[in-house]
Amino acid sequence: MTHHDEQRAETVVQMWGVTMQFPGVLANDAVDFDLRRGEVHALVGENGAGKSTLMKILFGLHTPDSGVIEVDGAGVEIRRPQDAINLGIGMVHQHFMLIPSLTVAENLTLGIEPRRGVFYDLEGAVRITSELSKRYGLRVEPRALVSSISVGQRQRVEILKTLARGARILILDEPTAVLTPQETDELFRVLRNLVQQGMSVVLITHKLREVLAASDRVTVMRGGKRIGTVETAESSADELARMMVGRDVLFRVDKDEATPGETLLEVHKLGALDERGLPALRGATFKVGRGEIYGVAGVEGNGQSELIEVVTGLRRATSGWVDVAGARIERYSVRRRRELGLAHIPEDRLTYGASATASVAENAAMGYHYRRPLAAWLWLSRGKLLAWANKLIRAFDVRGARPDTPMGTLSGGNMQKVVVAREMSHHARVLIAAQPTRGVDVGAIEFIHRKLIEYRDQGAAVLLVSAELSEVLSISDRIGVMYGGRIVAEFDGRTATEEELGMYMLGARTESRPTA
Amino acid sequence: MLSFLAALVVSGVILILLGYNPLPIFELLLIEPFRSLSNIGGVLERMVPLLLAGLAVAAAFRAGVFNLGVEGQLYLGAFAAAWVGFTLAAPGPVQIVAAMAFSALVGALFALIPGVLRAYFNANEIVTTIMLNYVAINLASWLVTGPFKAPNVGSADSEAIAATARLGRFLPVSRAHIGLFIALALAVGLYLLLYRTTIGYELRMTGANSRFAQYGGVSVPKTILIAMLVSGCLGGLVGGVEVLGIQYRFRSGFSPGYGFDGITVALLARVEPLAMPLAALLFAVLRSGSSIVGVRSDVGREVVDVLQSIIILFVTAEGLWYFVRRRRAQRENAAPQSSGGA
Repeated sequence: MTHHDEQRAETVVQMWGVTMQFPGVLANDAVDFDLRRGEVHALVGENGAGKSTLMKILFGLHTPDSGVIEVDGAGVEIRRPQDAINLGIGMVHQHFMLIPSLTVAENLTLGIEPRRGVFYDLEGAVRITSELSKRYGLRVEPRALVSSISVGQRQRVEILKTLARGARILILDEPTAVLTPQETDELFRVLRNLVQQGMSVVLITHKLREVLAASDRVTVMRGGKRIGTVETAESSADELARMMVGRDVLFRVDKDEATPGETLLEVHKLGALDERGLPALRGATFKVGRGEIYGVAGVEGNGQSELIEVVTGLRRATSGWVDVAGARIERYSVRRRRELGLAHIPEDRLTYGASATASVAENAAMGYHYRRPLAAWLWLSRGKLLAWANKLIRAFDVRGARPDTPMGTLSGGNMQKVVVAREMSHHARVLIAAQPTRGVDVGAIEFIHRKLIEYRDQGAAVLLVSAELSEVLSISDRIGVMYGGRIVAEFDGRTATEEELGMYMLGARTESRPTA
Repeated sequence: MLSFLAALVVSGVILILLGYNPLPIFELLLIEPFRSLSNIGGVLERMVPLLLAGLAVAAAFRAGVFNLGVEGQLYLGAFAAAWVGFTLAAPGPVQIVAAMAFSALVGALFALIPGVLRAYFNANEIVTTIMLNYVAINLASWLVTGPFKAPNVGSADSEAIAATARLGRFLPVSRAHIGLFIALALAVGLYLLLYRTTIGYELRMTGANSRFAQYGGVSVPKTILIAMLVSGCLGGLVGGVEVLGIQYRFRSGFSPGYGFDGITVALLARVEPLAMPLAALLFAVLRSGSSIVGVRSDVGREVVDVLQSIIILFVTAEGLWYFVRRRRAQRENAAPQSSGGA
C-alpha cells in the first residue's frame, strides 16, 4: 500500500543545492531534496540539523543564499509564503495559528471568507468546512469553538486550513510533538488518506517510530547536509539512527543490575485534584529504593502530572502521604523538600523548568541560588554563578551555550540538558524525572538516559515518569503502570513487555499482579 | 535614536501644517534647556522625582507587578518627610535621614496594602493601586487642611520644615539639589539589589516566569510583597526628597503626576535601573523645554503638549513593546493555573 507504481512516482518538488547561511551557522549546505506525488516523505535529523530551515525555504519563510527549486518540473521563485500557497504548498507549524475564540469554520475560512453581499457567510463557511472534512476524512465539528476542542482536533483544523487554500503539498513540522499516541495514529491515518488522493506530504520529525510507521521515503539530515534518502520499507530504525547521529545509538541502554537499598521515596495512598477540581490522583501507592529507577508508565492524563506535582510540592495532596528518607514531606514547602534532598526534572521545561528570558547561568542557579557556593548571606556572587554555569555546561555538553546566553535561544535538547544538569548537580537523594527526554533529539536522549543510570548508581532513588513506553522499558529497574490515578500493576523492568504494560495502561486489565 | 528622529519629523510636519517654522521651536525645546546654568539646573531639578519614580515602578515591574500607585505613595511620603522636618528637633543630618527614612517607610506601608491583596488574594494590583491613589492624595490633603494646616496660610500647606532639614543646593542660580545624587545612588542601589542579591534574583525570576520560581522553591507571594515594599519605599522617597529639596513644606497638589511619569521613564529605560538616569534626563529636558517653548514662543500650550507626547510616544514605543511582551508572557504562564485550559 505504501508503494506506488514507478509511473505514478512523479516528482512534484525538486530542490537542488539549497544553501542557507545564518550568522555563525551554515543551516543548509547544498541540500538536494525531492518529493513525489502521493508519498509521505519523512525529513528527519537531530535538533539543528537544518530540516525545518529547508522546509521554511520551500514555504517562502526564508530566502536561500543559493539553490534552485522546481515545482512540477518548472523553476520557481518562492519569496513569500503567499508564493508558496499559490503553488499549492501548505505548512502546518508546530505552534498552531488559530483564534481560540472563533469557531472551527471561521478559523478555516479566515482570509478566504465566503460572503453573502458584504456580510460574512457563516453557513457558507460551515458548508465548506463539512465538505473538506468529509472529502479528506478529517473529522472536525465546524461550529465548535477552537478553545473548546482538543489539541489533536486543532491540528486537524490547521491541516484543513491549508487544504482549503488549495494545498496539494503539505509540510508538517513535528506534528506529533503535541499529540497523544491515539491522536498520532489518527493523524497517520489521515496522512495516508491524503496521499492516496494524490497529495504529497513532508513530515518533519525526529521520532524514528513515527518515520517507520508513517512514511514511504526518508531523507536524513545532519549538520545542515543531506546524508541520504532511503525507502522506508528497506530501512530500519538502527540504520536511520546511525545516519542521524553518525554513530550507533544504543537503544538498549547498558546498565548494571540494580541493587536497591533502603526505601528513599514512599508514596502512600496519595490523592489530589486536578485543575478542574476533579480527583486525578486516587490513592497511588509505591516505593522507590536507593539505587533504583522506578518507571511510571501510563497514557497521559491518568494522574501522572498530579503525582509529580504533589510529590514535589507544587500541588496539595488531599489524602495520603509522601515520605522522603523517613520524613513526611507532603506539607513541606518546595524549598524544604529540596533541602531534604529532592530534585525535580519537570515535565514541561518551559512552564516550570526554566525561564526563557533569563540567562543560562540564572537558570542553572535556581533552587540553589540562596546558599553556598553561589551565595553568601544575601549576596549572590556573579563570578561564582558564571563559574557554576560553566561547570554544568561542560559536564553536560550543552552546545551553543555560554553562561549569559538567554535560555530561550537554546534548542530544546540543550535547554533540557541545562535543566537536567541543574537537578543532578546537588547530589539529591531522590530525583523525580518527568518526561526527561521530551522534545529532545536522539543524541541527547541517550546522553540523558546514561546520566539517569549513573545517578542511580551513585545511590539515588529515581522516579521516572514518561509517556514514552520505550523509555520506561529501557532504563527502569521496576515499572508501575498508572491508570485512573492509581498504580494498577508493578513489573520487573528486566522482564516486562510492551504488550503486557499496554494491557494495563489501556485499562484492559486492572487486577494487580505481584511483582516478580 | 532612529525613533527620536522619526518623532522630530512627525512633529515638524505637524508644526508646518499649523503654520509654524519648526526649527526655532525644536531649538527651544531641545537645546535651550542646556543654554544656561539656571536652565541646566531646572532640568536636573526635574530629573530627581522622575528618576526616583521610574525606579519605583521598575522595582515592582521586575517582579511582574505593576505599581501604578507611586503617585499616592509619593504624596504620603512627602507628608511624612515634612512632618519629620517640622517636628523633629535634631541636628540637620539626623533630620534629613530620619525624614527620608520615614517617607520611605510610609510609602512602603501604603504599598503593602495592594501588595498583600495581590500576593495572597490575587487581587489585580493595577486596579487597587490606582484606586488607592485617591485615598492617599485625599488623605494627605485632609491632613494639611485639617490637623496639620500651617496657621496663617491661605492654602492647604503644612508648616515649613526646619531650615537645617533642607537638602543642599549645588547650582547657585537654580533649585538643583543634592537629592539628585541620592537618586543616582538609589539607581545603583536598585541595580545591585536586583542583580547581585538573592532577593533580587528571586524577584527577577518571579517576574520572568513565576512558575519557574515556585518550582525552584521561591515563595512567590513573599517575593511579590517584597517587590511592592521596595517599590513603595522608592515611591515614598519621590515625595520625601521633593519636600526636603524643593518644596520645604507639604503642599497639597504639588506633584504634576510624577508617579505616572515614572511609568514612562521606566519604559524608556527598559526597566533597567542603570539606564534610568538617562531616561529621566531625557524626560526632564522635554518637560523643561516644553515650558520654555510655552513662554518664549507663540505656540499654544496644547501644541507643546502634543509635541512632547509625540516624542515620548515614539521613543517609548519600543520599550512599550518590551513591556507588553513581558506582561503577556506572564499571563500565559499564569493562565492554566486559574482557568484549567482546554
